[in-house]
Amino acid sequence: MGLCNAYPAPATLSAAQPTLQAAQATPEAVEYTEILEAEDRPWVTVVWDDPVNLMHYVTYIFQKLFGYSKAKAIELMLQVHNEGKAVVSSGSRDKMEHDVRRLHAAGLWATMQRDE
Amino acid sequence: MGRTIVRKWTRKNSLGGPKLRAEMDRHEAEVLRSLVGAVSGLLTERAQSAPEDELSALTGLRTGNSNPPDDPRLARLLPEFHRPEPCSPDADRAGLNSALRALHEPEIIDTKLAAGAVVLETVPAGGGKIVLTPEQADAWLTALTDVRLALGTVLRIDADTPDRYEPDDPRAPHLDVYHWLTWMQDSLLQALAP
Repeated sequence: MGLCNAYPAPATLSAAQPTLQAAQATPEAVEYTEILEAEDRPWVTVVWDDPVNLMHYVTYIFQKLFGYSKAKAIELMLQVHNEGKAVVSSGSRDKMEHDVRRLHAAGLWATMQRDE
Repeated sequence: MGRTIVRKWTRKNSLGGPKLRAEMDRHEAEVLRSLVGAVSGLLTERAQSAPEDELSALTGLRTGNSNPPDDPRLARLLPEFHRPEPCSPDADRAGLNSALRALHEPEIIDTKLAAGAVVLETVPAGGGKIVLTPEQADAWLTALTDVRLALGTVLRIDADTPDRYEPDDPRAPHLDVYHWLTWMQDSLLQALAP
């Protein structure tokens, strides 16, 4: 019966990870929006920190849903982890609805809002 | 003397493409099936509570619930879409969340139910070997996330949650299950996307 074995706990987003604090994500979270129509990005999708989702899983989902490189996905994941939230995509309201829907389906805590 | 069960997920390439493999004993399989079944039950109940809508019946476009779930587990699985900046012009657009929820919740629930169904199809009820395609492994990751979110909500998991509760704490065995699910998800992810 394996349930009660002490498994080493993988890192979750909100768990204290002092070694990761140094690796700050750049504040230019929307730098990749150059690939989007500049005039059609009044909305952004934000992913929020949560204590359950694993850092590795969040990185994987960013790669899978948005096609980001592993480096970009890790950078965004660390921004969520360290700063509590990160803008992960921007675009039209329809596109952001699509992104939030897929993030919710994957279990991430995401919201959309008008770009500031 | 019994054979050792290999719980850790491994990836092997086969003629039919890569396969993810692990084993579970009977008890583990029962616990996982029970948890996935419970979360799917909550989601199904939620889907069935969506309002009957004459327009939807005519157009075939489904309309989901427009209000957030009262159950905190469902509220975490199906969060709000819109979070306006305070004092922004959108701050009073409470109707936007209702509209977005009614529009998108049915499909989100469908995805989660499909993921749960893959787990129930691939875990032998009596335990044993599990073999997954990468697509099935993705469904597992989704279902394991949902189960951990639901259990984590009830256990009030936060950054300060200890690895173990005191043995006489009624939550102790449930926290062990939560940590087991976490370990299993991490192991599967390491095998799928190292």
